[in-house]
Amino acid sequence: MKKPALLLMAFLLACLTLTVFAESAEAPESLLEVVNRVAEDNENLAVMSADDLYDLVGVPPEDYDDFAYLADYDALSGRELIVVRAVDEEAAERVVAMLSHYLEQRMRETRNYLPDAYKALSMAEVRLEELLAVLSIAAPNPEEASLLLQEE
Amino acid sequence: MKRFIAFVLLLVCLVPMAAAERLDDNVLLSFYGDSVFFGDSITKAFRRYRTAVRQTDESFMPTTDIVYADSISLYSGSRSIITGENHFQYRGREGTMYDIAKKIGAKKAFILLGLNDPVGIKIEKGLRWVEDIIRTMGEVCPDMELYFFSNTPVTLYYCKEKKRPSYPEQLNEYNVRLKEKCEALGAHYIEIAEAMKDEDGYLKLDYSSDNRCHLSDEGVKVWIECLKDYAQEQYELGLWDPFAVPEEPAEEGA
Repeated sequence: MKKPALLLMAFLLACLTLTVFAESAEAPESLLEVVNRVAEDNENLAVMSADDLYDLVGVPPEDYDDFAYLADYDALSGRELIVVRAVDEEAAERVVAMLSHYLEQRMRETRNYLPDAYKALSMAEVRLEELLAVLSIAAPNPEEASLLLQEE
Repeated sequence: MKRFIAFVLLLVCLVPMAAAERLDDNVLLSFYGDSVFFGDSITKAFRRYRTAVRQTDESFMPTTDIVYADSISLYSGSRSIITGENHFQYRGREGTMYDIAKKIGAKKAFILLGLNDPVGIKIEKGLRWVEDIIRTMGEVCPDMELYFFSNTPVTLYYCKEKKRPSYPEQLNEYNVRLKEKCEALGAHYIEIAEAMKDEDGYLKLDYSSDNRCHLSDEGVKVWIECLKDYAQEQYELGLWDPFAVPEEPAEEGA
């Protein structure tokens, strides 16, 4: 009687272990992990918070399910990378509007102040692929935004 | 003789008790809770530093909003209307500092502006703009306390690059006048510049991120020490009680 019970327990344990392994193997990368893999200069950038994304850029937490926001720590080069995965199409539209507004604001701030940053901001654009919005400014690799959108 | 010795011993015991104890850092920084900081790129360094600290310590200044705009001047910041110029932004909307302070419901506002005017060579104008801010903030947020930080120093390289050899002395004069203005009009003045200066009155290179005027993390740390010292001073003067229980709003009809 004891043997079948032990076998059953071993079987259940094996099933549980397999499930856990399968789940961890399938766990998708977070956007921050993707960004850290794609952005060549990620080690020089500050990781910004959800508060920063809301207060500075205007994207509220209810509009996205994941994000990554990196920026040049001294903020003098204009280098920034913002990637937001919106919760739905309507939210994606709002995220793009906020990122575009933020880009315009940054250009106003730097126009007569940081010419190199202004030039980089002038060349930047907000891109959207399905629910993923990307704003890449002054990236060492000009294909950075495309690479990130391909990852999705 | 015994009585005398006992008296001396009593005094020795009482002296340390008489000195107010230094409050805990988080208690001191709670002075800046439920408040908003307004500034330019110098304040941006403060916000970035706070973000970095909060990644490992969420208790660090959790209820302080920090609103900045790169290159914004004291003049632009003082205006109560939105024009096509550079303005503050908060959560995706442009706003004057008055609108934003009201929206946040801040109990205190702390302002560091003037680098981009620059106030050192526009002292009278700078003080007029400060006066405008104090008056307008009083109208829009009558229950809010208003604080101005002294303008932070610049490096020798900044003075040479901008061809302003006397700028440190001019800034000193502005700060003295700013303090007088604040005291005269019911606002508060917080000294942060002196602790950042070298022996010649310039911004210490360790405290600068660009050898001009922007602050490094080390510079921001000095600023935070000044914040704590100011809060401790307010506590010792009996002007602030960090342990006071907030009063319940009176019930209607009571």
